Amino acid sequence: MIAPILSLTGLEKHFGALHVTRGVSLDVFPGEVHALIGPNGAGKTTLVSQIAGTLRPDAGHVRLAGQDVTALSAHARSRRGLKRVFQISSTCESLSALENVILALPKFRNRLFSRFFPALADERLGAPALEALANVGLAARAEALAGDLAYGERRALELAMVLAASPRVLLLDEPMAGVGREESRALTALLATLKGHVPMLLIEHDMTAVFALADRISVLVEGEIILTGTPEAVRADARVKAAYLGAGAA
Amino acid sequence: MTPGLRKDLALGALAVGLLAVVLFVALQIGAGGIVSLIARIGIFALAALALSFLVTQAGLVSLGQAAAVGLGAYVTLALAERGQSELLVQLPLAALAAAAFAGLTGLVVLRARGVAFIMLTLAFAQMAFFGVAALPAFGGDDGMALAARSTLLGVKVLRSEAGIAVAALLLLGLALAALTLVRHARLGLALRAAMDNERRAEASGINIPHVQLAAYVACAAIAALSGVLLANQADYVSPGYLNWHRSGELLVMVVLGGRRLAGAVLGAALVLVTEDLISHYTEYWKFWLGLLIVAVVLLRGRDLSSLFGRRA
Ligand SMILES: Nc1ncnc2c1ncn2[C@@H]1O[C@H](COP(=O)(O)OP(=O)(O)O)[C@@H](O)[C@H]1O
Ligand SMILES: [Mg+2]
Repeated sequence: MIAPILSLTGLEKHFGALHVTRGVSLDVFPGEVHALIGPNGAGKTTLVSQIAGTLRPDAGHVRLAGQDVTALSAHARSRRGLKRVFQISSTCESLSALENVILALPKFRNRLFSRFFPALADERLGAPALEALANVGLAARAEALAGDLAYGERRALELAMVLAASPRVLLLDEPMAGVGREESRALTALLATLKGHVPMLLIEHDMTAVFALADRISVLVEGEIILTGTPEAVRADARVKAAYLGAGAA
Repeated sequence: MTPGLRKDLALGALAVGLLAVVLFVALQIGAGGIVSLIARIGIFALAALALSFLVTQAGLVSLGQAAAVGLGAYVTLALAERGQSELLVQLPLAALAAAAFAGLTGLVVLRARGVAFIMLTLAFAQMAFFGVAALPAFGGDDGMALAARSTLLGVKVLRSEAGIAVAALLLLGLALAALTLVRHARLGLALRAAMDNERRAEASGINIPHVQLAAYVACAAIAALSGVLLANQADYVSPGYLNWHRSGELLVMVVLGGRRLAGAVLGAALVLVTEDLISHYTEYWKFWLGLLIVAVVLLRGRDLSSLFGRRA
């Protein structure tokens, strides 16, 4: 049997009296796109934060490639290849698109304290960063400040950043939220090219994208995973229809 | 070399070059007052430059920079007392002492952000202030005269104001070039990313406490070098060097200088020239300086980031 690349077991999280994560266990296998759907407030972002390491779970474990990373900081997990795209767009707005991607390259951190050559003139950084921008259609915007990009462009930039980092697992928290129809289609197509290569945990409300990309879908309701299965199985499930998809969606 | 780096280096060369030209002319015409003024500008610009790096490149608004300057001065005093006046010994030891202080206190202050960070840097600097004031061996509250001016390879290069001015401009030029290189290097980019968006920088794998501590320690070390020269210019060292209003004055120079590193030279010159010019006519020169600060702040905009001239 193939071992999961990302494995959650028995995660629990409380915010005061609010029980936001209830015994969540979930696996993402190599090459798999695992979608996580659920209504607003179900605790999806909170779960992603616990996986990425910006929130500590009260109980349970996060394993990356078999290794327990529950006690590691967010940057340590990032260095091990766990890369996150935030639900609310998060770039360094005063830096250029190119600088944002350069920062995200694993090579960038290697000689942080010993290499004083200008980062922008360093071909070992510039070339792969430009390539990553070109892959998401942002080559022409390399010099623009991230803060000056349109929202859809900024989402694409964030994808370029995580992809440039050769991620072992991608955590995507609603990458299509707030972007237009055209851009949403382009992002879906981009993610489709990664399917099979980069394992992803994809949180998304755009059901067209979810059903186009997901190998398996888990449904989170009030902090609990009520169902994990193939897109067909999930689409057919009565509880999902009731809790989330709504009567007309099936 | 990138266009941005070339521009920053050119601006730095222009700022230090202008001071050098004024110094040269003043020496030719024998204007001793101006030579002294250039020496002071060079010394304070060095400390303000180090602070400017922290503020404008790392977003770390420290109100404790005077502690590093003062520690440098006290190391100079202590070494001179023991008959060690060699700059090649004094400068590294001064830098080391301030770096050690910043390294230890940095572990605490860098956990805080915003106003809490400012207050913690202030608190540690005040502790250093009371610490040196409690040293009877160095004159306690009153401070103490420097036993001998520093030498370079045995030569009394700091004997005259002109010597101090040249040394200050040399150190200033070197520090400005070095910090400009760092700004454009990986470390500088990592610092600017952390200043802009901590969450993003962390998600990119940058160890923010590490890079910020490195900046904090390096800038304290640079400020300590200015303390060595300050002790020589005054021939005297007292706890007043570490006082918080000195830190505030350095911060004023940084604010006046704006977001470019070379601006710190301009800020230091503005403050010291204002002091020099206006204090001839009125003892209320600080009032006029205050007015200048108000004008600059109003012209720049209203939030703290534009106050320090950050690209927003
Ligand atoms: N830091 C926090 N403190 C307290 N409550 C929070 C915090 N973050 C999220 N919550 C609450 O936890 C619940 C789940 O939020 P979230 O994980 O953002 O849901 P989702 O991403 O599925 O929409 C919500 O009720 C939200 O108000
Ligand atoms: Mg959410």
